[in-house]
Amino acid sequence: MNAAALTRPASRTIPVRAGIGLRAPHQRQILAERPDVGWLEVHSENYFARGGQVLHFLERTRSLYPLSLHGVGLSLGSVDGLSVEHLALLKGLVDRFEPGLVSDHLCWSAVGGRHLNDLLPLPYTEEALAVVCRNVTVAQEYLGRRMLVENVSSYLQFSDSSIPEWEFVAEVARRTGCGILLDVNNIYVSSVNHGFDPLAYLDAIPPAAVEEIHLAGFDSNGVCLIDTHGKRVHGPVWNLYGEALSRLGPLPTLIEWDTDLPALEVLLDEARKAQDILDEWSLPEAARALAA
Amino acid sequence: MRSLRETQQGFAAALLSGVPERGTPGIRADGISPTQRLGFYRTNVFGNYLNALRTTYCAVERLIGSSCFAYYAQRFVRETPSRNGDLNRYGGEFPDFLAGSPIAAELPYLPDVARLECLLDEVFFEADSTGLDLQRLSQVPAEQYAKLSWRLHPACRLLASPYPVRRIWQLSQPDYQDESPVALNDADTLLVRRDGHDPVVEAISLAEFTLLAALRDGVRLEQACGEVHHVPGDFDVGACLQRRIGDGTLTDFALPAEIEQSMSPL
Repeated sequence: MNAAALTRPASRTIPVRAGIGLRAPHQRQILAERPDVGWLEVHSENYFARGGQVLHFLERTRSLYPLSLHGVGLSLGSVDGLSVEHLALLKGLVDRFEPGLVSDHLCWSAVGGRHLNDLLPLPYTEEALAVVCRNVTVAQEYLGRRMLVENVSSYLQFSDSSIPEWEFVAEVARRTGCGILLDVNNIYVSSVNHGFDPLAYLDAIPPAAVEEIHLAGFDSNGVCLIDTHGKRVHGPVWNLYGEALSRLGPLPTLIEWDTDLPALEVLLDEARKAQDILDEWSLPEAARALAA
Repeated sequence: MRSLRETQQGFAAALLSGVPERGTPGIRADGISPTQRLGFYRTNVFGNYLNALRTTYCAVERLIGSSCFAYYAQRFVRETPSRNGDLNRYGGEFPDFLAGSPIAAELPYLPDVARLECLLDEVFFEADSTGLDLQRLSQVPAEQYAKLSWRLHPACRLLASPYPVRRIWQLSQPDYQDESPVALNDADTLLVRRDGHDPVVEAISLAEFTLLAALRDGVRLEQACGEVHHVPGDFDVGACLQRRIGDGTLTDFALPAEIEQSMSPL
């Protein structure tokens, strides 16, 4: 490949295909082998570098694949508001790498200047809704683009919560115009932990707002399901994914894997499974009925 | 009803304290005790911090073992709040924390090994440089060279230690072969820089260390040479500058304004 081709970015839009999360141990193999996967997603904060290898690699990767920037540290549910430094670093990446999608989580992780660096659940109250909407609006205005907000897994609920989570998610999208990154594994994990109907959750999500789906594996600690991103996607989550596509239509779908990272081939295999299901839902209804 | 601020402050305090009596702010029981539910998050949060420290300080962990490392990491986390949404930025104070811990009495070199690992991390993520402008350098009259203030590449760090930290750090690398004994009274003066994209640790002479430290602090070459003059032994400043320009350690220079103005525009 010549230099001009290397510097030309791949498409600025994320295709309706399966993608995988790009993690550092797979970086060289992906550049060398260029596997047939629709797009890649990275954790934005892992590229908050001033220079060096990580940005160099991301530059090369971006020339080959559509890219999504997925944050874990913006703390959109923080009552203190957003860190301008964090936003500025994110905007630097957005301007440089022209990602197809930019997302973070519907959670909080910092208060009073102290960061817990985890995706912590919010009480679903009118006050929290106003805080999240204010922060999402600030972020979207700062970045000059639409963001996606992702539902998180949770292991507890607050007694003050007065709004079902699915209504809270839909209302954030309605009030701010942000998109929804629907994590189907997170819906499943929380539905088991809190005993709600995951299909009712899906039914409440406005299809037009959803731009991306996440799939991942969970673990159990014996009393609770924990969203570890360290396993293959579980059977019930694949089923729920089909239910999601039946309601929302085919959508860009990401295989996430963060702990106990396996060989790249395992992620690609999971992506192929997601692609098969996506292909099924991409057929016209009559053809789908025939295939069934 | 609690305000969102009260909920978040109470949650953070209860999670970080690890003391159940601190309460579990507004968490529903639903078959599992609120304390246990909060504990799931505590496990995640402390696990995340431990992993972040492990990633940076892998030589320290190999030197003291993973359970000893986890013990000190946990104490460090309790004392040292994270101030950044980027977990990769956590743990810069860990070397100083180790220096103030009982383990420093047993392994006095350990804090400096941690400092070296912290610098390797900084160097890895530091800014790139566009490289030395040789054309601009060729415009400087030779008799003015002494007045240049040389600048180090952004991804360069210097570390001096009374211990042989480079050798100790090398010994803790998984693929290091040299089994010869370490003389613990050998002091180190080190340059940490990038070779391509890879951080490298170079042992340099005290004279070169003194020169580079002076240049890093922004003094003119003539003044830096004056500082080197006090270091015993022979040292060829010219050869050193040539080598460090060649390997990209020196990437830029500033001239006094009066000389800059006298040079023809490029």
